[in-house]
Amino acid sequence: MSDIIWGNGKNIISKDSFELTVTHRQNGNSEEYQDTVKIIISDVDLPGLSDNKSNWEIDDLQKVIVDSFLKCEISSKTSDGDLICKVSHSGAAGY
Amino acid sequence: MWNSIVITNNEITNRDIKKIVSGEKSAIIIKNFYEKRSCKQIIKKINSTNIENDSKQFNHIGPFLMNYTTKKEKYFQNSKKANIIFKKIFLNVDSPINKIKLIISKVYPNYEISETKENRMSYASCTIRKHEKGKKVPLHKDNVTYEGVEYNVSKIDNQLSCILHLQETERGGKLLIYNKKWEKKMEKFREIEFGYNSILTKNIEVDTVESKTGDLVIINPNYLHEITKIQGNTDRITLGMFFGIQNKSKKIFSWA
Repeated sequence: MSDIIWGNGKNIISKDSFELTVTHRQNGNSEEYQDTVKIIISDVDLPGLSDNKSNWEIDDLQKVIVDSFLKCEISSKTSDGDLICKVSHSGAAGY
Repeated sequence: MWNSIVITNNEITNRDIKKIVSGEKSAIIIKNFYEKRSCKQIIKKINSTNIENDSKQFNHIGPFLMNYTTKKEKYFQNSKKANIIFKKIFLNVDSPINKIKLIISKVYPNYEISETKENRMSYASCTIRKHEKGKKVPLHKDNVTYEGVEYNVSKIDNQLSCILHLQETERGGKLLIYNKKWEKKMEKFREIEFGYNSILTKNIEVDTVESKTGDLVIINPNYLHEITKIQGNTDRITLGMFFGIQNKSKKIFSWA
């Protein structure tokens, strides 16, 4: 099972990366994660953002990611320590 | 004062709606809106029919759009199935959906309220929720303009939530609605699974609405709200639908 962290989108860095303010960490994660991490998006499930990466613009990411509460499922890490993740909109589902 | 407008003659006005939209009042409660006898008939029909729930996670009949924020196709497929089920459930009773639509249309006489479709596919006309003993619904808001951006109904000016109580609880299952309107900055207080941390409502005025069979409760769902734990042996059964008001086109959309 991959490590999972949750938090709010902070700054958009590029068309497929952003900074996340980490608020929650899954129990049993294999690693420790700092309070602010850089996320590189490998896959998304976010309302308002197409599945096709080549369509993304910084403005789209700005609208959808900044301040939103996000779930990041970590698939790997770059040599610089950036996290490659599937990013989804956490906790939107109703009861 | 943050309290409900209680209506006993089945007639609400545009002024009443404006008060909940602006946050001057917490809710409109239309007492005995729907006959208790018909509520019982609907419950009997639900219990005697083999109806598949919309998901394993929730005891719902009909899809709830917020569970399908990025799965539009699936939402519309499930809506189609659910709308057929609702027609069967309401076959021999005065349709509660039409009755609710009628009261909303009277409040907005110059607006057109029509069956809401997208690419010729219909939205779910309502959701019937059965909450059992011990269940509660955490603090949350419903705001289609934020989480439902992929749907046409998100292009609205105001959203109203209408909840018809089909079966009341013995105890608990009360709606608590807080005098606190959701803003995006509150997203940092989200809980992992659903809803918000209760720190957001500390020292905030709250109104309590009891579950009473036949009552229709209308709220502005962008104000934080929650349902207290259901106690006693009777399930809390409600029929819920949303209305979206689009001022420029003078249109009203409904969905669930």
